[in-house]
Amino acid sequence: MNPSLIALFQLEIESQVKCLNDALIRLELGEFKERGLYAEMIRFAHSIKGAAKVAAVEPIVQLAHTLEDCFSRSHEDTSGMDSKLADLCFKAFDYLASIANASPKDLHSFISSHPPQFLIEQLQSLNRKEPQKMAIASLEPVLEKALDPIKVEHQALVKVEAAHLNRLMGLAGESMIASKRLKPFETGLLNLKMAQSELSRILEKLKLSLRETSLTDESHDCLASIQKKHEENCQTLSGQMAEFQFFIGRQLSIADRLYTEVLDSRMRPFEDCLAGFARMLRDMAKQLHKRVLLEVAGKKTLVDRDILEKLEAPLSHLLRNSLDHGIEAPAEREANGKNPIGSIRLQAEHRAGFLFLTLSDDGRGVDLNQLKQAIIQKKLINENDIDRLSSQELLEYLFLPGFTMAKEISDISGRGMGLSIIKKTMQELSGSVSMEATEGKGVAFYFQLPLTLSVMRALLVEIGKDSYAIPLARVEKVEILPVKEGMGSFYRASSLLGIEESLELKENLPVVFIGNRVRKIGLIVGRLLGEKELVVQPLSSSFSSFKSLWAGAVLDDGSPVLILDVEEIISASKGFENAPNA
Amino acid sequence: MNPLNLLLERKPDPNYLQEAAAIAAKNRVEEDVEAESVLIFRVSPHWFSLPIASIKEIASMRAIHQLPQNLKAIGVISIRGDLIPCLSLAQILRLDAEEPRKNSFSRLVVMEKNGFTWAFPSHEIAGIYPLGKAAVWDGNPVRLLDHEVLAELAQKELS
Repeated sequence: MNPSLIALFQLEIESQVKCLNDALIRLELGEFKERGLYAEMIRFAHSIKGAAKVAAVEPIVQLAHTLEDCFSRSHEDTSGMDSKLADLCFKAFDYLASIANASPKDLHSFISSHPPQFLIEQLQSLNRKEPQKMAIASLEPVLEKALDPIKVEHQALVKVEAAHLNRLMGLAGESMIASKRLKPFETGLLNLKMAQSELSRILEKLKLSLRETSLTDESHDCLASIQKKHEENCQTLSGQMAEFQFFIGRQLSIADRLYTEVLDSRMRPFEDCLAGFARMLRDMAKQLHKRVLLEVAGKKTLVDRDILEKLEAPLSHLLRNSLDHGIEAPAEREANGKNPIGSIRLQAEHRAGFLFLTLSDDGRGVDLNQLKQAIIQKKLINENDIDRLSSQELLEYLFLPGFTMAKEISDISGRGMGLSIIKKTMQELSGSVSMEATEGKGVAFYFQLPLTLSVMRALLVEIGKDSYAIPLARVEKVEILPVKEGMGSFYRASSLLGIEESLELKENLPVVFIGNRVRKIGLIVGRLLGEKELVVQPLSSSFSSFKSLWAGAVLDDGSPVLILDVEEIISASKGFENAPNA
Repeated sequence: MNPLNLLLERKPDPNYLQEAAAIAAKNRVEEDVEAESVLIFRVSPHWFSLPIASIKEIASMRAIHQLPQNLKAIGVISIRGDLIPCLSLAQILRLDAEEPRKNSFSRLVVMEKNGFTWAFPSHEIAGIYPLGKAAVWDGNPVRLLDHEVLAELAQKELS
């Protein structure tokens, strides 16, 4: 059997199973009443059958056919599918998903060791309470005709080593820097042109002043040829300059486009990390006897693949949290005048150069009084001070490691570590997360993340004689203050980093305030150089012993700049408490 | 008679001597100059050489960014957009030598070994010469460096 054909077959199954899962989840939430969804599912199952036929995988043909039977019978039947059959269908989808994930080489042995016969028989027995063979038979040809195999658009993808992409990125950046250096050269040429016209004027003046004097023929000829030569030169220069300017324009635009293209190659649509979420929620809801619908907006929003990879775990955690703690049981929801089906919304969008993610549910929200009790109980704040905190500040406590309001630890959630891990992940990604909760109305989490880890807005500062960058997302404020080292939580950046710096005696020093939720410090730097967009370059393992460095970048003039690891600097500052002024 | 003897004792081809003489008369072609060649360069007053196979490229002098937590003469440079460590050879070899000043002869020698890329500044590059002719340069002794040991020392310097 042709392995590429098998791979195609698996790809087809994978995408159709995804659609089947989505459709059946929606169907189940709608109490199996939405007629249109059955027809959709028949089409998906039919596509699987077709693909299995082409790849000659007979057991899958049978399974797909049985599924088709089940769907079309439910379609005919006014009472629709029952939840028992739906469960079985989900099992069948999982089986198909495992087929899609099996190695193409061992597919046949995989199928013979895990035959779908049992599933087929069960499906048939549930389906055959009242055989309606005729109806199926009459539906089949109609479908055959109407069925254009549903094409799920697969953008052709190739695998490229990340190291190659990083090199490409470095080169594209370098090419951009090189092109930018053409500009000063152009200015030089322009100056030359101006000097030439100055020369023209001097020549003209010379000619006028010599009019009174009688010149020898030789001098006259000489003067004439100087003037002629000069005019020629001017013309050549003009021509060359025009050509050069054209070249610069082109070069800059090519370098710029190359650069954007390489950057884009790191981006993937948001939906890439959502694959299993809907199904996970459905299975969990079933277990908890709740009903929930996951809505996703902005599936196509592009996200850097490194960020996307790191988002999957936090999102899945929050979704589980929402369903377990937030969404109430259907009866309770109805009693409160809510839709019995809970809703969890996930939204991704680009705004103001950042990626914003919102995850909200319409569950029971957070009981602030209970939260206050929990905070006091854990002795995190004085009882008298707690009323001064805003609801926003109260909710911040939920992000502390080990803080939980759950009375029992379930296998789904409750240990109180999740939110603190999420907060940490966000900080590692130079992003932030905040929470909003209304009692009885639900909870919303807001994530703000950089669009990509490859480009970062940073504050450039001078420490010692070199420039360093601090991720702008981590800078709380910048001030010029009359401070001295050793004063409160102010630290000289050069001593934290171990850099030699000639200490200037100045009254006011530039201070950059950075912090995490436990510690805020003011970093005294040598000079503020401004804000800049940097192309982040991960530092090679050679630099692994320099803990205070997060990454590097190259400035427009080709000189390197090092990006500081804010977390490391903050923890390094602890060791400098009460350090002598050195 | 033994067939082997038959083979060994057969008469030579009448043209054999001439052919052999023609081969011997040819000039010997230098074999694989690359593997036998070294780069001769100077760091402060010392002349060194390194097998050219160990050298990735010779780059012009450029801005060196100092590394934190390290007051030794090492830093970071950008080579074609890649950030690599730049170390002082004198420091690695524990030689007394002033740091190279930025003059027109200074170059950066970029080395690579098993994916570890690093560079050191050199005051002057003499050029590439066959190993056999690289013992003396300009009246000074040239010391051949072991690039593998050098890479290890450089890595130690960074850790």
